[in-house]
Amino acid sequence: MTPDKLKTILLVEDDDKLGRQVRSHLTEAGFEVDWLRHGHDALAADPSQYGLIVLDLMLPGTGGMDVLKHYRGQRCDVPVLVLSAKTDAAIKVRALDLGADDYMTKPFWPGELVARVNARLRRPLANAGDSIEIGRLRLDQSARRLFVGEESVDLTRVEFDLLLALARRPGVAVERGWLAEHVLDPERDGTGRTLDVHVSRLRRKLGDRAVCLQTVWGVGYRLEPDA
Amino acid sequence: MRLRPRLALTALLAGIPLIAGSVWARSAIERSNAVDGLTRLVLQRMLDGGRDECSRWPESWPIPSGPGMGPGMGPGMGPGMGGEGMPTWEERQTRMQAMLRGGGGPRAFSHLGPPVEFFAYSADLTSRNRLAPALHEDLRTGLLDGRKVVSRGRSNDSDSPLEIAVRMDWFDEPESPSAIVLARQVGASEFGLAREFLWGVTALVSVMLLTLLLSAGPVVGRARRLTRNVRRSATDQYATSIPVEGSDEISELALAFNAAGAQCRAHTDLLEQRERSLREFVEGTTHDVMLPLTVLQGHLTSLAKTSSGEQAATLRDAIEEAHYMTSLIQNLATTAKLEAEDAPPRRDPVDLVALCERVVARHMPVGREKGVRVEPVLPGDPVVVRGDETLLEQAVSNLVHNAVRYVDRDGRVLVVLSAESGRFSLRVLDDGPGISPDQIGHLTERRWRADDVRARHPSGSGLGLAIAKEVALRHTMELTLGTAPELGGLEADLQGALG
Repeated sequence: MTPDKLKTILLVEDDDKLGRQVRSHLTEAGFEVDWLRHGHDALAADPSQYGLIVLDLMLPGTGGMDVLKHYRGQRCDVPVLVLSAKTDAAIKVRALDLGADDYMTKPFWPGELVARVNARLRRPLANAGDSIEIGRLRLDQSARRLFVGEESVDLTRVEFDLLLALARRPGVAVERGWLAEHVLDPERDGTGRTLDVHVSRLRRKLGDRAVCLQTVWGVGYRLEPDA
Repeated sequence: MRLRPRLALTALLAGIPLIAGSVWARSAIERSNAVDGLTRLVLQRMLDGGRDECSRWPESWPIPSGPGMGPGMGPGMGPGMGGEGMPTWEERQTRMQAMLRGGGGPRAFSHLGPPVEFFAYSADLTSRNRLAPALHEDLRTGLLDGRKVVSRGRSNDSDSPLEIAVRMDWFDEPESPSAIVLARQVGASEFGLAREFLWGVTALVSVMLLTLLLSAGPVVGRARRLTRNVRRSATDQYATSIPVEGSDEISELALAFNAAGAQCRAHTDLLEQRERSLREFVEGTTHDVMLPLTVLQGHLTSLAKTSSGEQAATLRDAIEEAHYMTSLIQNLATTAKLEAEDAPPRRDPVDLVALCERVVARHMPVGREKGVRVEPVLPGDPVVVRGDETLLEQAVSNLVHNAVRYVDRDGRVLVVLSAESGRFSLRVLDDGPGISPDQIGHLTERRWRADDVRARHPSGSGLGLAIAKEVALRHTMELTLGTAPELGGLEADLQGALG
């Protein structure tokens, strides 16, 4: 997946005003947007050249569900974010069953849409890629090594797992209880307070990037890429 | 009182006077017959030689002499009594005893059974026979009044002797020792007849009662069936009609129930139809409003980015109002949905991690305009529960929106999700002023009502929390409100089982 492709979004939306607006906000957020107004146009398009598809379900002619079914039938795994004005849970469930990755209910805020698109585009990179980059931090998953800039930093197993768990969801705090359960060694560390000890050691090892590793009100930790 | 006992009681109340009356009438007739019989017996006895015997042996009469017994003497008198001439005193005593034991009368009156004693009195009401009892006052009075036959005794009291005094035709002859004859009958075989009669009447009344109860059986059974059918029909809102049996009063009742049920059904159908129309209208309207509202929000966002100063502040307010309107419309749709469905909600798998991310993303842009940080704190894995995703998302969204609205500028809102031992806890905390404990109690006690949509002033927060509470209730989750230990403001904690 090339970085260029990740920045390209296919928007399928029949409403002129909304389409224009969504396109403008996504463009502003740094994406390149191809906008299609009709379902049959969407059927003819090649979804694989896009990083993400924003698909309205209420389209004249061929509906959004049909478009989705068609794409998934082509074994295309491009993430699809569905837009719907329906609050009916059955429709969401059906869309998710057909292979939609996420949905947004109208009305939504442009910032909300951008956040959802970003979250969706970031995730496959974190899961599939061999290494995860958060600002100047780079986690090599297979070698289980951390690089701050070009400098390699030695981490214990717990420290690496802790950082990896946070790096998978940059900007979102991970709950303490979950970290204690999934990262700590139950035999050696027990739970709770030892987590803080590991975090403070990790902070020392991160040096000037320690600001990235933030404590959220005693309920969780977060890796903030922009800090 | 149930029908059968009531019938039985009525029959008894009617039967007892009937039996009593019959017995009384019967005993009066019996007595009158007995008096007539005794009178005839007296007359026959006297005319059959009794008068002559009495004239001959006034001191000992009625013990008769052997040959003068007249026809029809009972076989019990035996051959030993046969003899010529005057009977001895002993013989007469023996005969008298035998007579008193019974069977001393002519055959024609043998059905009278008990022995009859005769005594003769002269016109001054005294007897020459020492054994004769004094005439009772009642009899004396009657005789002195000039009555031909006077009787006393045995009306209700069956054991008292029946006495009749007959004024003989020769009453006015001077010196007649038998001017008045007293016949006295002790014991009463007639009452034996009366007893049989009593049993008869009682048996008759019992048979009537039984017949009544037996014939009431099917009626009671049908009434019960009808009751059951009416109840069953009521449970399905009179959708099924009651089966009508036969063509009598009970079937008419069933028909009347059916007619009433049909009216009820028609009325309910009309109400349901109206409610459905209204709900469809609300759903349609909310749907139609979603698109322009999205566009409006987009425009406001664009304008806010390029404005500054007072204009930026105005736009911030506008954004917040638009956000509130959005929330209100979504709550309206949720309310319509909750009202429409009394049934348990859907049980789709819902990932609360994704749900929290969506909710945070929804409120983050508005929070950012206000300077409020909305921070999610989530587990690294999906947390899956069962439920209606739209309802749950709206509930969590309401909690977050409530927090965002009430924290001060530069405030914080945390959305903390954790899962442990099969249960999850989704906490929404803020560092706002919080809510006083009595208000918290009020909010948690309150049940969600559709009326609140209209009653709630736009500045209020009750509807959102009340809807969240209702959604939690329908998902068998618990929503508790309290003070956030970490931030000091309000904490809303939604807890439930993982799916």
